[in-house]
Amino acid sequence: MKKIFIILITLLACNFFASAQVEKGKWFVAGYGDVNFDIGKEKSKSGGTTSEHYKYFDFDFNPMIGKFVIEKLPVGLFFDSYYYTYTEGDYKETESQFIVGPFVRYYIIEKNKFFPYAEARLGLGLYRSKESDYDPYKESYFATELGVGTSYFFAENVALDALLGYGRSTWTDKNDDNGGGVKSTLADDTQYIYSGVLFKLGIVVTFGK
Amino acid sequence: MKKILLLLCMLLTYSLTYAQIEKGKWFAAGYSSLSLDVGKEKWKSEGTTSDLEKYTRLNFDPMIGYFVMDKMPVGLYIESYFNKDVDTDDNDTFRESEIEIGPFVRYYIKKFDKFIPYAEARAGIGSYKEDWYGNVYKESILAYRIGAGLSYFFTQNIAFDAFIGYDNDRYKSDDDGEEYEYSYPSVDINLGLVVTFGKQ
Repeated sequence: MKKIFIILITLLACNFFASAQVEKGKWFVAGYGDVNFDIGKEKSKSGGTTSEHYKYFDFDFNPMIGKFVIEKLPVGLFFDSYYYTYTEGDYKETESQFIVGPFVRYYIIEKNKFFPYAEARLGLGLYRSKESDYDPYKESYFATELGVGTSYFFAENVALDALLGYGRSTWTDKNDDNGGGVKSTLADDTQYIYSGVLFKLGIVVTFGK
Repeated sequence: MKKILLLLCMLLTYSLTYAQIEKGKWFAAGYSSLSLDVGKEKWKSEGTTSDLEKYTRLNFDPMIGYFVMDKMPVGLYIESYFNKDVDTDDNDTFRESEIEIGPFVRYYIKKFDKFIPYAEARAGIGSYKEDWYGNVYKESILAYRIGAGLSYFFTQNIAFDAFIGYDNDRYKSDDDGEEYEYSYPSVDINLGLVVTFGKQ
């Protein structure tokens, strides 16, 4: 343990490489982060007859944007959010999730356009769903993710990015089972826990300054 | 009508000399990605924790093209996922997968400073499969999307990209001899990044 700690400190302290891609003041954006709206309806066709079913509205918001506060170290925020409605006649269903949290990435060294890094992120959020006149269902969210990866800058400021990590997320039931805004003891204690290994491959870009 | 045709011809033959979108460069949608998540779900209530299921989530959504001529990238897009859930108690397994693949073409029309408007079309075919504890259900997919957008190149090769278009996905099935089809006509608005690279 002591040896690993010494190696880590040595890497951080004696690592004076300076590359334009990861210099202080630049912006960092994960390519997968985007904003989408989808407004449509479902139709079905059988035996020559076409019927219309539900209408839907879907909004997704998943950016991950940071800034190099010092060389090699972008710090920023990521979002993992959506809003969805489904309407069929008088029936209406809505579902929303809002997750936001900070991330930090540290580029350790440069080796022939490869920039290995370590990354950590923390997410907090809420989930809510509601069907017509029924009470809404709510959950809170807490997650941590740790990983290592490498960015391969195949262009001046565009990199193919690979990350291998471990993530753990917890969804906690936040419903008022007793009515009148009083939370039940059971609801307070109910949690769904997801833990596992993640692998992501995508594009990141750095720019500015 | 003649004037419109003339205007269209002028737009199409307009000689753009932009390094970002010249013949021989590559084009990639920023959202292009592959992700794999393998783990387990637990349930905790009143201090007791129980295993629920093991899960696998795989997503693969690239959109990559090549400028076959100035201003016109042509390529392939894939939208796909695979989900698997295995019940920890009895090993009952649920599997679901979908893949849609097809060509796309984008045409950058004219440059206004760093803004370059474009028209884009794509068409795809694919399949959806669901295996719910041994009961298999399949659908074939036929999809197309057509629209227009704007790339704002804030650096030499990275652009903020806005798109609005009409999308129609059709899922067709032959269940117990009765053929039926579900379609999802919709308006899509996407905001994201695109990058172009290669050929200095």
